[in-house]
Amino acid sequence: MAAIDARGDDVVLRLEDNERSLMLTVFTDLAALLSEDDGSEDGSRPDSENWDARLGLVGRPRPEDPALLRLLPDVDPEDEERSTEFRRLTEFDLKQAKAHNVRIVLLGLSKGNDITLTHDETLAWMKGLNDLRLVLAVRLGIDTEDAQDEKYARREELSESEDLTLTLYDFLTWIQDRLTTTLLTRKQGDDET
Amino acid sequence: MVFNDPVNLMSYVSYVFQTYFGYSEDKADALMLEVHENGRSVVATGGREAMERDTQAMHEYGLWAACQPDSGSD
Repeated sequence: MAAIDARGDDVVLRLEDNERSLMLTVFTDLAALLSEDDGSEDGSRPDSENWDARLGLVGRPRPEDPALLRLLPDVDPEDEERSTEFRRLTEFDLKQAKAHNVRIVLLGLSKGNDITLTHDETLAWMKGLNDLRLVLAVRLGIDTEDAQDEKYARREELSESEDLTLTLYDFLTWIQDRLTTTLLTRKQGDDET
Repeated sequence: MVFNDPVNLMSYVSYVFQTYFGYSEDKADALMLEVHENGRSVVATGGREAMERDTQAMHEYGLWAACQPDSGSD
């Protein structure tokens, strides 16, 4: 079972072999989701060279995949025009920031089962874990608290793959919560001194 | 405005409100509970550019946030 402890300014995460390999798989999938061709005219070019997109000169289509839309939401669901404009100006940066967090997670996972994270790396892990959980929740149909409660209540009726996804989701929830409370505890200590 | 979402952890939402907005633990927890219980909470108000910047930041944290003009003004 994974363990998370504070060590000085760092956070140390210890994973089992199967936990680490599973996380490598699902975070690699998330990296792929965030790098998918967005359908714009310049989609064939890597994002780093896509100056028109970086500068907000070309429109970006609203994601059709609900999981991707959850990661890159509308700025004002009641104003389509404004949301389209905002997406053109900001979505590129948002997607890059999320992809960067995922890269930090994958880099940490590549180092072995004992992973030492700096404060900034811990924050990137928290954001990356949150994004991955958002995607899994969409795939599981957990969009409201009622839907979530029902999913757990009817656990025995779930297909094997759904049950495994829910187990993975719980595991990622635990890691994200432990990382967050570790930083919160440290912050309270800092605030008092 | 931040919306309730079953995925977002109470600890994480409070952490984001404390570190991004610089709110006290008490204020952050109160806003977090308001989101949780009322389904939404106005966590910041201000000019359009500042609010759009905050919304973008919330999206980077993965919180479900939106910004809307105050009714009756622009």
